[in-house]
Amino acid sequence: MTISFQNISKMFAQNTEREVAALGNITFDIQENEFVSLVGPNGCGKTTLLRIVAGLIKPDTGSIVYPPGMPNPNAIMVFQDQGLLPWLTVSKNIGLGLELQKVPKSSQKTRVHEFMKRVKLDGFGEHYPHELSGGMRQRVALARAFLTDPDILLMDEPFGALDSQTRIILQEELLHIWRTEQRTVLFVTHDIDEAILLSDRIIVLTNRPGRIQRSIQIPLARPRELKIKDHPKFVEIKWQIWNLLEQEVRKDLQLT
Amino acid sequence: MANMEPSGTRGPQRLTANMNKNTKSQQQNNNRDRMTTWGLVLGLLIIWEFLARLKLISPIIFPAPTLILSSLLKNLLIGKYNENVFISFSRVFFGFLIGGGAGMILGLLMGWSRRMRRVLDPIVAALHPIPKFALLPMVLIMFGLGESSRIVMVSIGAFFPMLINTMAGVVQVNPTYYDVVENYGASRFDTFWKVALPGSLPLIITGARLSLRSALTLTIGVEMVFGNNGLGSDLWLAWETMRMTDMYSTLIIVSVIGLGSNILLERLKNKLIPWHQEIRPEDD
Repeated sequence: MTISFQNISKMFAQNTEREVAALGNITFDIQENEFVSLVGPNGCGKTTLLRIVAGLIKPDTGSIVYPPGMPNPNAIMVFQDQGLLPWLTVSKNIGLGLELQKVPKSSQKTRVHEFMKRVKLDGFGEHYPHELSGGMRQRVALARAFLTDPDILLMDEPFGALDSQTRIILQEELLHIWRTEQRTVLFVTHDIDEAILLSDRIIVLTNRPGRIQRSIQIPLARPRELKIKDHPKFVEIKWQIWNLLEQEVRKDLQLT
Repeated sequence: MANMEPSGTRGPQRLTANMNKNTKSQQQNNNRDRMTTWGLVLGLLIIWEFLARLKLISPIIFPAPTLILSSLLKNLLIGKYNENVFISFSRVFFGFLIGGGAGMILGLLMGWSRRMRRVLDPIVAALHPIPKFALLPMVLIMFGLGESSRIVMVSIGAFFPMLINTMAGVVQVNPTYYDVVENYGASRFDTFWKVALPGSLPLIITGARLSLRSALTLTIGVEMVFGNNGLGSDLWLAWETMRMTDMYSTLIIVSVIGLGSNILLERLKNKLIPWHQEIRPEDD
């Protein structure tokens, strides 16, 4: 049950005469229930890749090949922020995915209710997003995405707009949900620690146009705890990734 | 390094904390300012009363407030305004319904379809700045001297503010919201009903308020010109016969209608968009 990304590239029109390559020829596979993070310098096309997988934009070349068992692949995106509709209450926001995917009303209700209980959001059902903190809003966004049973979950820096303490707690929360609700995940982040803590594999991208620079397996045992950040292997990988990224960032800043 | 991360959650929380701390003293300040406002108005009225009674200002142009008030009460008691309030209110209402309704529908279409916006926006931009009252002679030729001309004038006044605000409302909806529903496979129909319409409601309601105000202005203006019925004709008649107490008391009635409809819309807003956070305390 492998999902393959084959030769995906994308150009963007910067103005009428010039086009900028955002993504150059990306090819990789992702196994079922594998957690893969994409890290790379700003503007390397990480988000573009996610948007292509989510079906929000079309690639210029290449394709995504789903296994034969997935005729209508469900690729669901968790946005960095603003992913909740402000005019819907928390429970309606969580149910939005099911509603749009035409799940019968009665089973919508029970599934929303049960899931809210499991992720400890019950009691907030009638609140509106603006009444919640940024961290709470992202918990709701995560719940909504998991609830639609996605074949692949796409996360675009879901904790990027949060303060570092809240981010750590939500990383643990995501690990916890993911342990029980195994899913294939493609996770975009700037945060190297976050990527190592969460992932089975990290794909490091180059500067624009983004290409795969290195694919790194994370051999740390699961279930993982925050303390794993002190593990010598964790620290080693962290420096390995930083060395790869540093060159790219320096190139971008003309500091080489 | 990690502690220097900018935060998305801390800002609003800090704001709430400050609000809680300041609520009491702010409340006191608000009360004090409100009392000052009323005191100022009352003071000016008292000065006016004395100046008029002592004939230091012309009691013909500025009749004493107590005289205006007693004339207002007397007229209210004998039901002098009933008919004309009903007539003027109906014109505002139907003009708002027809013009505002058409403006909202066209605004939604123009906000929704980039093509329509590109085609129609220049026309709207050219027509909108025309002072609507200047269209009266043209409307009279087209619709005659009857009631329809008046309703058409009021509708034209109500049309543009609603159109422009509704269109802006649809256009300003955060594109991420469209991404979210599209990602879940929403149809165009779903996208319209679940994102475009609710997302534009705050500006539609602002449009309704401006539209209603414009409808009232045109109603009074048209009635002054026609002169046979409505509160506008009352005002004009009071000037023609130099009955200033009548003029001021009718003016009070007109103001109450304007204020009342504003308050009604404000209530409606809290019902329709409880999720909306006012970013600017005053938007007009």
